[in-house]
Amino acid sequence: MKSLFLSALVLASSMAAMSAEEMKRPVVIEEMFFGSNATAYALLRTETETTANDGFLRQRTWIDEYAKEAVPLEDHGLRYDEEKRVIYGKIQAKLTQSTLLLDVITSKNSEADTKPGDHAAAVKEASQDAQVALAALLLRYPKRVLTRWSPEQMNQLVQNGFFYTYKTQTLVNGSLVRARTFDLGGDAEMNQALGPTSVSSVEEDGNCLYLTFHANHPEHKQTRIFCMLPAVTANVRHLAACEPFVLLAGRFDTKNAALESAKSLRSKLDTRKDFSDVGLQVWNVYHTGYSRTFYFVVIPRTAELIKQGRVAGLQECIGSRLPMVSSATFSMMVEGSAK
Amino acid sequence: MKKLAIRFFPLLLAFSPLMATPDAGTTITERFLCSDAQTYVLLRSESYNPGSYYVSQTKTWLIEHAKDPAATNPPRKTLLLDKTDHVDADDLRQKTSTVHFKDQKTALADMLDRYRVEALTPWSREQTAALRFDGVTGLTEYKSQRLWAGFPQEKQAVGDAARAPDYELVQVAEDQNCIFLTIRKGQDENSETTMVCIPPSITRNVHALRELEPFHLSAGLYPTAKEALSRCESLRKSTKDLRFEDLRVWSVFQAATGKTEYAVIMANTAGFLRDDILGDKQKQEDQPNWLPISSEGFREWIVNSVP
Repeated sequence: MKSLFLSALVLASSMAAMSAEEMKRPVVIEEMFFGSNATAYALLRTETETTANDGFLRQRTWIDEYAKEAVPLEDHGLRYDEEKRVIYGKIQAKLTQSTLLLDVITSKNSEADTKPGDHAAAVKEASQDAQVALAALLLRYPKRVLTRWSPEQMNQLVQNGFFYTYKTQTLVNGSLVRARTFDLGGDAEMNQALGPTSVSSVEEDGNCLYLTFHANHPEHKQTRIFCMLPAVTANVRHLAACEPFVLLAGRFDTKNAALESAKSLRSKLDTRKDFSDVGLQVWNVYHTGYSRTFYFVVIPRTAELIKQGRVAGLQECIGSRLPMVSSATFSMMVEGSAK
Repeated sequence: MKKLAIRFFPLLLAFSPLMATPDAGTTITERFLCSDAQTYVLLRSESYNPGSYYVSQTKTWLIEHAKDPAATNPPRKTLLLDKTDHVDADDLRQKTSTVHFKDQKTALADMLDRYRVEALTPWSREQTAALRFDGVTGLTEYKSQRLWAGFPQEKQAVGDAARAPDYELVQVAEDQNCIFLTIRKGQDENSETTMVCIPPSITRNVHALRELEPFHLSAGLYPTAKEALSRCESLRKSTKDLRFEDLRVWSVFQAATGKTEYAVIMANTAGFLRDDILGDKQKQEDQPNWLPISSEGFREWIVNSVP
């Protein structure tokens, strides 16, 4: 009883000695995926702070609930349209609620002094939210286990500074890293604040990808989970499914013209029994040589059509040549009829 | 192990009347020595053991083979050395040789002057695994290309599933224009390791098959090789962007009809398409109507002219 009183006294006096600024300074931030549904997901976020004299640890845990709705990220006056925001990863999920679940202060030194069984004496629960029922959260976010990307898929992730890309799709944009970690101005400041960064895994639920991002600064370690919203995830899946070379049925300057052409081609194909199974896709294609975007109407499952020897017949049905093009510069599938 | 054998040798001798002598047998080993574009040279040694631990006779030949199977000149076989090795029955360390014949005419310097002395480049494990090798007959194939029909004496064994494989493909390696298969039959005293040279025309086709992409752009299919080659020539003249090496003629087996046709194709289709991001090049007036065709039925690269 005496030791309990002394510990509490030491804890109280030490807390009083800590400046408010030091208390706010997060040392380690760790996020864990809690669960998701088709329209939202939740993360558990734990922030661990050490006091100035290194005697106490303050650990606070929140449950952060996000809607899978796109919130535009800063585009520095470039005024991206919706398509470009997706392609360049200039969107993030909308934080709908953040609830502090637990606030615990632990005496680090007490572990050596305290006998087994006395550990509770060294812990002070500053606050605890008894309102958030676990069962309610489990019910709200039923998807608990994510599907992890294979090493082969992970090998296709390319890192360039704070950017992570899959083929032409930006998954993690520097602006997203900024928004979720330290909102510092320049890359040099960010580099200094974050230390070396990495992505350890990419996991999927029904309509989103989740990247586990690590910033390994020795004093400010962070593990953050970045959600790739449904529009980004769908495009990653389209890019993954796209063959390296496809038949090009038309090239257009605007999306509307491409969509119109696809519609007219669709009716042509549908009139022919032998080609009504052929699909069409409209892709946004950025050409670096021209520094501009084109819209391609392409025919998916090209390899199968070639194997079946149906390309000549298809040309005749459509009434024009079907050159083959590489899909390496394809940015985003804007429409697809998966026949 | 050697020390152990020496230590127990007297014991071995004491019991030798009780031990069976080895079977008489001949070990044949062929080794690649050097080659040029037309000829390859092997060292062939035949080691005859009459059924004794202590005596063996070895003859070594230098054999110069033409690489082209159509060549009329037979292999030139020169006996270099004929010797008998003896091991002293009382002391295994004591070895003597009796030389019956030693060739004095074949100078090593002459060989070096006549041929390129270069080690063969072995195929990787993945490359070798892509070959189909029949251990009963020696028949070796890559995709649709037969490299070697197998040992003539095994012809009757083709398709004999009940027979255990006798032959092992030990190594596949290449010189400048030929593939060499090293095939072994049997073990130890009664083994034969032979080298089979795959002629330049077949080797070239194996390389060409290996380089094939899943599909190629085709400028047309023709009933005869002559027509396809003529179309190839006219395209080279009429299409300014096409280089000689861009176009090739392949024989294509059409499974649906059972017939063979001849296709004029773009050799490096993937590279060509990567340069033609917008597909404009393929629509140029001087370009043929390039149609993608699957390379599954491709059989032989038809070559009848050089740049």
